[in-house]
Amino acid sequence: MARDCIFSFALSCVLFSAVSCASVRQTEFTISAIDTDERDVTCVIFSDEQILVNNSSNEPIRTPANIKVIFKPKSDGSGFESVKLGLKAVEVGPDKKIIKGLREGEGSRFLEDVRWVQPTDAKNQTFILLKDKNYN
Amino acid sequence: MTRIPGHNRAARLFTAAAIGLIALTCGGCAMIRYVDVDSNPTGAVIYVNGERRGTTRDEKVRIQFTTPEQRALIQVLKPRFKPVFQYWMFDEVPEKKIFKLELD
Repeated sequence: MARDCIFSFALSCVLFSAVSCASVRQTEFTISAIDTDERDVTCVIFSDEQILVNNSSNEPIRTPANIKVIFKPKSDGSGFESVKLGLKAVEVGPDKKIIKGLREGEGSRFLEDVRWVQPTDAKNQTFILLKDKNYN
Repeated sequence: MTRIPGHNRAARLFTAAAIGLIALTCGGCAMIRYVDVDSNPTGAVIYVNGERRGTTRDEKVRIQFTTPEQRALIQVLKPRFKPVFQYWMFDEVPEKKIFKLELD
């Protein structure tokens, strides 16, 4: 009887863990950006059109950066929804504050790049940015 | 037929433990594929899953998967050309792939 109870409890724990895991999934990515000459490019990161912000400093997160992405399960239970991640190049001043590229419509030396990530994608996500030829 | 009390339960537990052990062992197995990555023009840099892996026409590129569902991102870039990329799952990795690069 006692052994039955232990077995049932263990099974319940396993099932509970499986159900919990199926709710959402969090994956950490290292996001970086380079140009076609393999030089680092400083960018802000946006997800679903929202620029990601550091919770403590309230400043936009800049590349290279580690971010945690939460994936919601698909409604049909066949896995997880992809999440759109994008990068927008910014210019940083001597005081390391962003001086250009954050405002709406403000030009940038590089074109924005976006990709849809999945929870099982590689941890390192390197974006390769093209120069914006129309930028003056 | 004589039934031994507790025998079935013990057998079930043993089977479950064995399956769990196999799953754990296979979960840790690396799935490796090798692909000959070339480009036109040659001399482009290859990135696999965000890591630099040499240039095209070098030795074959090793791609490691942890699960069959995982996809690998292959990026190829060369100065003054538009970078190209492709996602491959374990079963989709070709023997050889030539990436055609367009001038930027």
